[in-house]
Amino acid sequence: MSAWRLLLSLDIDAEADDPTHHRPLARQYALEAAIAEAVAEGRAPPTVWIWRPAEGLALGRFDSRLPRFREAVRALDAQGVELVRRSSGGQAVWQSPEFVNVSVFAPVRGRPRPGVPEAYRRYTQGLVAALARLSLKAEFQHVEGAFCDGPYDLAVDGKKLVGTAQVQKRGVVLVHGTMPVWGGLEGMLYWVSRFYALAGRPVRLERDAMATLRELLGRDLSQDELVEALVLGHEEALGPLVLEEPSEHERVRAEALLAHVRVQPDG
Amino acid sequence: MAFEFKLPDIGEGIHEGEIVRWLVKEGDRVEEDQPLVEVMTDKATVELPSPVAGTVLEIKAKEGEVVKVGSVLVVIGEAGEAGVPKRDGREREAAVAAATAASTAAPTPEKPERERAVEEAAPAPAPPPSTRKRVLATPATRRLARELGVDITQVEGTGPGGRVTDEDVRRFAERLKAGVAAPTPTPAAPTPKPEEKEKVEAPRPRPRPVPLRYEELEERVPIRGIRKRISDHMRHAKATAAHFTYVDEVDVTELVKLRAELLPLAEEQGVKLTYLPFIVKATIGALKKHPGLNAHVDYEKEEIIVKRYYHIGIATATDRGLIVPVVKDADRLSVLELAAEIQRLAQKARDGTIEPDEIRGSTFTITSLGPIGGLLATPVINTPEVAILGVHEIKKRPVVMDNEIAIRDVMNLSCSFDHRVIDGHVGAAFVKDVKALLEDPKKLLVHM
Repeated sequence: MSAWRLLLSLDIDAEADDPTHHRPLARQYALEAAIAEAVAEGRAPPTVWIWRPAEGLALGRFDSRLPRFREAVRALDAQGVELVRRSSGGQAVWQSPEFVNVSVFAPVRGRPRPGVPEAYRRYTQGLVAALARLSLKAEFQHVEGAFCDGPYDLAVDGKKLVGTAQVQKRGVVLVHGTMPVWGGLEGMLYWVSRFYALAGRPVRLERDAMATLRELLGRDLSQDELVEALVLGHEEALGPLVLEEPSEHERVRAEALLAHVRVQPDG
Repeated sequence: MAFEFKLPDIGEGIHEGEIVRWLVKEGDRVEEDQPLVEVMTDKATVELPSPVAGTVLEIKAKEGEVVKVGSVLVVIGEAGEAGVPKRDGREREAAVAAATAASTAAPTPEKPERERAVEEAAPAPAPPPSTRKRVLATPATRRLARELGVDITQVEGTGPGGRVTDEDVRRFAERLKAGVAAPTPTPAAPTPKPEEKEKVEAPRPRPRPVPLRYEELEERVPIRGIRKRISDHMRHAKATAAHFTYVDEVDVTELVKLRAELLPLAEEQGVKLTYLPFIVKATIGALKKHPGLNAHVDYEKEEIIVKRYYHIGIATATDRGLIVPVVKDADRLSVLELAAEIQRLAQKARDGTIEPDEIRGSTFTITSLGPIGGLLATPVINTPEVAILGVHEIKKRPVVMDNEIAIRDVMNLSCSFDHRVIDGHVGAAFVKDVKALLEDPKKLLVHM
């Protein structure tokens, strides 16, 4: 496998000021889909993308089957919430610049592909190592009452910290995780609960079931400190990372995938 | 012989998966390793590839169904083999014809899933189906075309029966690289419109328009960021809430004196004491008397959600547009604590560092027009709230008191209500109560 590429997208303000970024979250998820394609096709090396998401709700692969899905989308859209569709499973996840997302794209050539648990283990190792550098011990755990609950989420001291999900397509495995860092869990509670209540399948989330990284550390941490831990943690788990920018091909492809990622109120 | 494809073991401890989406249908011809179906388990969506080539004879699990590991998902074989689902009449003939055509004319499926996904996402560049030619090529040649970034439908095949060969693809790619292999124009293929082209190309500066006298004096400002949020929110508020506005004037002479007395104390604590904390206190006092105004409307459920807590939004003008920071649990704060909190949030709003949690969750909003003044306004309700209080400038005005004209400090209040859920007399009574508390600050003391 060739050397891992590192992509960093941390400057939310710059993107928000760019007139072409008025749907910033959809653009980020479209870029994620474009990178997955490029890695699958061998156009791009294996990649770790560390990014701060714009605000909005990332819906799971299955959410469109909810009984009142369309009504829920219309109601949230009317409130100015940007909705996107991600390719992985699990429930809706609130996205906020208070969070940091990590997406790991690993090419898969031939068979057998890694099993689902194995892929989670292998490609969340970087996050586990990064948290260890911050003196936190993270482990896979179901946490009742947490957002988008699953057995391969990362919890610290019984509180959910990172929500993970996975996609295995021909040529690529994508494992991504959302980590509330500086705040934003109230938004998670409010918008996720509201979406499922409107969609006809209420969920019960509990604030105490989850924590931000800042809360777990009991202190403030800067973006630079976090990014350094994440980069070193992923290098420890995967090998050297080479900092690059997304290719022109990926950017152009992301534009084409935008309509596929956006969830529009009128269908 | 038909092959039964079962849900494979996709990881230890995983016993079942849910069918998300079939990527093939009965009668389709599939190649080895072509994705057949998407299955979800443990928040992972997994595309399962076909271990064999053949025709899809029968799909055994529906989308949305949960299947156990080892259950048969699909039967693959040759067209006409046992396992073809029982259908009748024309449907069966069509399925068999399609399967036969696929197996004889095209050794690979016409549109692999990835191509289909691309078409879903970006339909414009694909020629219309009626003009799209059927391409004869082996899977290896198709793969080579993909690797070289060549649209195989544009390549002229020189092999038997017009089959596209590896050599054809390489030659086309070289010409493409040299910039001479413009795709063979198909007469019926539509030329992409300029605006469609812009969607897929990197942004380029638009050509400067021919100068026109008035257009030159206009500026087009994109509605985006906070302005877009404000725009959407206001449109929604005006489209849903049935606004009515009630205006009254308040004699705040006593309040002006009280504030003046408290200013040194506030200064000692480093707090800038405006009238707003007193207005917040008066508002909460009145809201406690009229709880239906400290509420949200959930029209989808046809419910009024009465809030027993008081998160007061303070509409604040910033360079980037209107922002409404929220003073949480404002009823539990003293006047000076309120002043400090309002000052802190307003500063964060103005310098753009306010956090998302600090602008959400208000139960009632106050918009202070402050020194801008004005006699009255018709504030737009911060929906899903049901009312908003607009506060005007304090001015010295002549007032008749005991049949004499006195110069008093007077302020107007403009309060909008959602008439769907708030009756006129309730709105009026609320404003009267705010007025009473502001005119007699001693009464306000019980809320401090």
